[in-house]
Amino acid sequence: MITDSAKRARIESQKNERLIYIDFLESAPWNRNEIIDKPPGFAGRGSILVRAAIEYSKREECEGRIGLHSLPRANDFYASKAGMTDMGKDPDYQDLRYFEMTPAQAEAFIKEAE
Amino acid sequence: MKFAISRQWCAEKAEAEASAEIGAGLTGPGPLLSGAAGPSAALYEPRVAFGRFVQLGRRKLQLSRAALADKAGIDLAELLKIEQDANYAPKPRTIHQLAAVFEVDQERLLALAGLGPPEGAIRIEEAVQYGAYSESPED
Repeated sequence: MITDSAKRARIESQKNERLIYIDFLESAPWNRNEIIDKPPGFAGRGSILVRAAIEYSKREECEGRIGLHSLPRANDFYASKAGMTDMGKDPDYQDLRYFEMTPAQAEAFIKEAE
Repeated sequence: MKFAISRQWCAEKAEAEASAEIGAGLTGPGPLLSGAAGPSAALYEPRVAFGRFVQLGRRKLQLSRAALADKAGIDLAELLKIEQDANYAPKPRTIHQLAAVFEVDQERLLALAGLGPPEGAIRIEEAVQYGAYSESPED
């Protein structure tokens, strides 16, 4: 994971607040389903990477705000599983969809189920 | 940086995440994708993964590029392109040779390189040996 702390939030309610932008994030290719059949207990690595970004954001006093340009296969994960806000395709970044997480969304992601 | 994650949280997220593929950004640690011009990221994505697989697999085996090219019987220049240029379409023979060195299934490696069907039917449990937590010496 590669991050950039110089970017600013785009969501209207967070406009211009500092966030941690994830320049690049990926799982090792051999951990991907199309290459191997994972052993039990091998899932959840994406969530842990997002969690790490949130924790880093908090440490940098960005209150858990993160932003990223999702690769096409991961759009559903960021929208449905991570609960991030889909800001739509970004024409300045090869039309990848831009997602952002607010502090409230970060807390919801971190929280354990009751 | 250290932070605590409970086992319960991990279990919940693993169940929710299931088999979702996670990725973000086009600026990896290697020069696989340079510049914003050209075809869409969706077209590149399989080859990005393939190039990264070859690069990290080579490091796992602690092979230089020249040593891997020699071991696989492929051209060094092509290996360089595979690792560094997502625009490059590898030759099928090269992929077969690399699959043998990395001990992974040829069909799935072809699919990862964007040259085969997206769904491989053959299990490749051997590939687990290249786990993400392995040490990777810099090249």
